[in-house]
Amino acid sequence: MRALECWIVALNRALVAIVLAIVFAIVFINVVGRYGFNTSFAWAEEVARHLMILGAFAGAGLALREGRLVAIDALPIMLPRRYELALRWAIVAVMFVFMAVMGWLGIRFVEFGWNKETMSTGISRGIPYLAIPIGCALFLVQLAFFAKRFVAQDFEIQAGGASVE
Amino acid sequence: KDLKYAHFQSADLSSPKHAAALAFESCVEGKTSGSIDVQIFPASQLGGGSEIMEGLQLGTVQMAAVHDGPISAVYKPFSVLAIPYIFDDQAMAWSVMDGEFGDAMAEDMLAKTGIRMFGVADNGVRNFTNNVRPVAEPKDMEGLKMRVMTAPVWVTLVESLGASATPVPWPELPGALQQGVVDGQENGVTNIVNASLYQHQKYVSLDGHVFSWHAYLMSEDFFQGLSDAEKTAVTQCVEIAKTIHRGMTAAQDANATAILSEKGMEVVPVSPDQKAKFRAAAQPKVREFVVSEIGAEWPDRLDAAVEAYRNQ
Amino acid sequence: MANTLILLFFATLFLGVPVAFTMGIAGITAVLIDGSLNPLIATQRMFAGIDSFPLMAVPFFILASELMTACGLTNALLRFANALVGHLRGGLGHVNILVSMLFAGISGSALADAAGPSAIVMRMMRQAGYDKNYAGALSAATATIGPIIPPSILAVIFAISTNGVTVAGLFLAGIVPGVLLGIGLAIANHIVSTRNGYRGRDSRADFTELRNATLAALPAIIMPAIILGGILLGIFTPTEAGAVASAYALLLGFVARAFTLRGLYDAFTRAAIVTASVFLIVAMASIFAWLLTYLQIPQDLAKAVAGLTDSKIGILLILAGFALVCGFFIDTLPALIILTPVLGPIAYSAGIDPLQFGMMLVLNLTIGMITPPVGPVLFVIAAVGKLRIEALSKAVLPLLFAELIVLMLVILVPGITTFVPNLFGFAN
Ligand code: NA
Ligand code: NA
Repeated sequence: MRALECWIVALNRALVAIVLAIVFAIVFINVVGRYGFNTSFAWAEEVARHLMILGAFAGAGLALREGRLVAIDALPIMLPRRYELALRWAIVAVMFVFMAVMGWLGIRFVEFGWNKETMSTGISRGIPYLAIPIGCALFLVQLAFFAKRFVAQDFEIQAGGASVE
Repeated sequence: KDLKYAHFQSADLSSPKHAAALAFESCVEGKTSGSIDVQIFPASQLGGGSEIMEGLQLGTVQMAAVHDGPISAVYKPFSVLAIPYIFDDQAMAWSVMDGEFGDAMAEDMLAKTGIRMFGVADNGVRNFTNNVRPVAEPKDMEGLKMRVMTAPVWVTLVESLGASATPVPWPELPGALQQGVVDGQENGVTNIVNASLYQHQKYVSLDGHVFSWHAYLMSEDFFQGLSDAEKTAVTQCVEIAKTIHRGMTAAQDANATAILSEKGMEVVPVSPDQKAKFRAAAQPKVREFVVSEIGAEWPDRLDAAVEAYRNQ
Repeated sequence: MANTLILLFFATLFLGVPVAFTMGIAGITAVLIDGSLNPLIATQRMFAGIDSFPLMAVPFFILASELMTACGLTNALLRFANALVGHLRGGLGHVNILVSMLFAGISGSALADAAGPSAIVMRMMRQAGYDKNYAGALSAATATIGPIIPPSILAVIFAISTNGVTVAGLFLAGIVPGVLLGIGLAIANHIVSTRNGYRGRDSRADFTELRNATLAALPAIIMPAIILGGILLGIFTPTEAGAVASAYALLLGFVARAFTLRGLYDAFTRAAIVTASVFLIVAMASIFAWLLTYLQIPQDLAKAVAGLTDSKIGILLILAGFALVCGFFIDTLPALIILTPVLGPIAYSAGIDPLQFGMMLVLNLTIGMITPPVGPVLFVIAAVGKLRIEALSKAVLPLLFAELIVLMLVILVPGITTFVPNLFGFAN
């Protein structure tokens, strides 16, 4: 179980890092192309934009694990430990239901967009819309694995970032 | 009944879309004695063009005046109107869009998308502007970096004239012109003035390559939910809105020389001979591209409608 | 529907649901209960809210500052600031301010500064005998310079949702207010240091030290010049500037052989995850903001405010007060997304320059980051420095006062925000 979780987290991290790297490459090459070679690609802007949206929704679960989804903690912290834990479990349940609903609506939205086209590349609008159900599904998986540690507020702090003292 | 009406121009009376929307509001509320409550959402408050097209289908917006690009993304045949140098003048353009051709397109669009198109008003006759040199012929376009809308048909148009096409989203356009990321762009007078594009563009060539449109659209589900009297009221009031919208935009297009030179631009006249050179360079290539995208049916119909008007 | 929306938002916020979700949950629940709106509107807004090319400046500037830190330039900035102002009275306090101003030219976020350079100086201040709460408070206050001096994530988000305001114009509008914040905090630090006897380093840096520190920090110091220069010369758009800044940081790292493959991968991952947390808030807030507009709440509010006064300064003061109160309770980013379409039209119809209003709102909400109960920068500093929020809040008061004076100047003197952009031809 633990190994499975590690694999999923590693894959998820690789996904968002690679997406960001591709987006960065597209935009940077487009600048070089326009300034240096007087050419720019009509598709670059749209592809970069839609990939970034995928990266954003796909990274939501990782942001949760790292405690980057900020919340106002005053009330839970004030409560006696038992009630605090109960409240945090309730928050987990609320997040789970919400993202499940959004994921389901996301699938219907993909269907809705399927017969429309994007402006530049002319692919089906349903394809970029897939970012929502994919992101919600990844979030639900991450939340399922991480729920217990979320309740204990035991977040993963990455080296190099906000780790001072 | 609530009628949420979305458009994309700013909320002042000098914006054709807003003036038309206000006229529509008072007309409909008067004629239906308030049984329809019109609420206007200007300046993209409820979303951009693509989102509003989806909104008409989702039923979150009941009515909108939408420009060509987002319509073409939902209903492809509309992009036939991007074929350049097709209309000789304003009267011809209106006659074709109000006649059999426009009706057939509205009917087809309704069947395919569930969106009712009452008709179209002008988004202005598009002209090239740039900051480098006066452009009177296609050869003057050589080497200019022209901003185009982010759809491939516009890339084809500009490249067929020998310029290099740089797709830039509308919100980034004023900045891109000011900083010189691009040398030029193409738009109607209304947009050039409203978005202050003239500030950083010295030359405007009145080549009038494309008559672009704002379509008056309504969610068909909403329309069918209206009583007969309400349907009549809405239909009549759209006509009034359209007339105001057309009048304001067309007046600006007709007085392009005066308006733009007063703003400090140098207006480059394009003679009929020079315009023929533009047409010869651009029209076949763009038509070919459009046919490859949507088939020959609608381009042929448009040619036939233009021919019929000329023979009238 | 309006009641459900607003009640649910505050209820979930108060109960401790992550801020991003509070707005989405309130939005979708209100839509489902009401039943008259197609619920797909929620997914549409979620997507459309982040479907914007200018918004991509955000991940790029996050990436750039991650890469800069990864190749050690943040530490070089610190040594440079120390050599320059470390000998003054309250020297490390001034170092804290100066390093934040320099870092602000690379980073667009107050949180990045609070967790990075400011936190490092805080530790140095405590070792040098400064009161730990004052050290924390100053680090928090200086971090707010990050989103004022360009580049700025908040400026990008304001500009993309406002017609007629360009990202480049708003970047330029932030220069003078950013410097004023620095000066204001320096004066406050001087007063506090005099009163508490905080001294500077024993000797002024000699020429060699100053030269070496300057040379080491130079690649980072010229970064803002590259960003703004490239934009103003038309080489790239502000969005692309973010990508160019990242490429520049990559180049520096490779030249200095500062990256391992692992370190590079981590920097990209971290930037991607921070981006995800920012975009998730933007996406959810756009559901909420759309519903407010749809229910015509901003329109009604505008009518109410317009009836109160017709003086420009009067309107700005009312809007600033309103935004300040919102800033106490709502996190900066969602507050900006919600308030821009609500308050903007009120200001513009009173004839206020959007550049002035935009910078005022950004400054206003940024100041909200160091005020309790919802002060994200305070939270980061408290967590990093193991401080109590109450004590930290008390220590921040004199610095908050200095920042409010700068806010008043921005309200009273339009030229502070409009002069530099006008100089470069950004006018409304
Ligand atoms: Na900054
Ligand atoms: Na600092």
